[in-house]
Amino acid sequence: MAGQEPREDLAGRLESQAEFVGSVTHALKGVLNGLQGGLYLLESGMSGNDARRVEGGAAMIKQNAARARSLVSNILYYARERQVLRENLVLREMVSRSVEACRPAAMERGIGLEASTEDGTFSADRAGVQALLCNLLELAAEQATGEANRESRSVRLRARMEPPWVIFEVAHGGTALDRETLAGALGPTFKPAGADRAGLWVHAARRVCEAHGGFLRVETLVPAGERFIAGLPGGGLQGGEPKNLSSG
Amino acid sequence: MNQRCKIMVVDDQPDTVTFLKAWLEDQGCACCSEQDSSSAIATALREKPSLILLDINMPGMSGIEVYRALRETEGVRAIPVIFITGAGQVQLFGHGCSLLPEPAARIEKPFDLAALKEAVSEALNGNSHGG
Repeated sequence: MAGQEPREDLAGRLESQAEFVGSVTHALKGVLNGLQGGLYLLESGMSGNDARRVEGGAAMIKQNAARARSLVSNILYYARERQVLRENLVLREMVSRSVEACRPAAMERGIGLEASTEDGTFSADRAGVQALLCNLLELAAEQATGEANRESRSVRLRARMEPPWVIFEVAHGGTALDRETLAGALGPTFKPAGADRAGLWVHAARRVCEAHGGFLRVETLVPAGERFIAGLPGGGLQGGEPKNLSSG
Repeated sequence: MNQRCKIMVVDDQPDTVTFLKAWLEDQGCACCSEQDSSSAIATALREKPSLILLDINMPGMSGIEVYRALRETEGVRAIPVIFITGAGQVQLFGHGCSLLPEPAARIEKPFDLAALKEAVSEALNGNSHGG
């Protein structure tokens, strides 16, 4: 019947949404667990006059509060059909703002953020671009957390104009996301996999790219780490990837 | 709780490992941990813990796969295991779809620390009733 969604499409969409709810619930449990752990360390540290434990607890609470903020932002991106509000943006300013927004949480994890950018302007949704960059930076910082050597504990953002594209590359030297998580996040419908919410972060980043007519790819780096490559069409031209980008 | 026990925590989430280690040490237990599930068996063989707290939902080798490998590995197969999980039900099948033995207990995240303490005590005393 005209105007009705085919039954298969509807079933697929419902299945995807059910999986999304399951993934969000799991992510929320992770945040709650982190908050519970942080509070335990804080309280037991205070009662035992253990300053190091108090510090560790406070850091854990802050990290999980930041995770809760990102989670809410990603839920909103997933749940709402949000219109892309294009405006002219200064590349250097967007990079700088996003890096500074993510730096405190990264520092608490012992992760250094580095950024380099070309100069230029592009047309995109300001909130969308900031959400995209923060998602990728936070995810990369999370993947790099716990690495033993200093180089692995850094996240690098490179931005460049490649007309008609603006290309953002976020790389880290930590643990690459497993194939199952990536397949679930980059497939046509969101399918959560694994224990953490990484898939949801990647999926939300991809939605921002695709809403702009762009793309998101993930490359595994040798010997360790990975690179997220996001392309947004900034010059008004759409469709197709730039040919000089290697496929992921 | 048994003051001389050593308990191993296997979880890919650093927060959970930090939290559980602090809590277990406060209960008077020694603690070791492994965040990489694929190294869990080797760590268990090396550390010889009295009890393992095992996360189920981990990337790479899942907790169920770790549990199956533990039950099939000489030297660690008798170590009691408590599942810690954010998920609900888990299916326990071994090779050839035969059922694996039940874990000592299943504890959901976020933790009910009283329930966790009871489960750990019972598992260490060999009084677990299965999960």
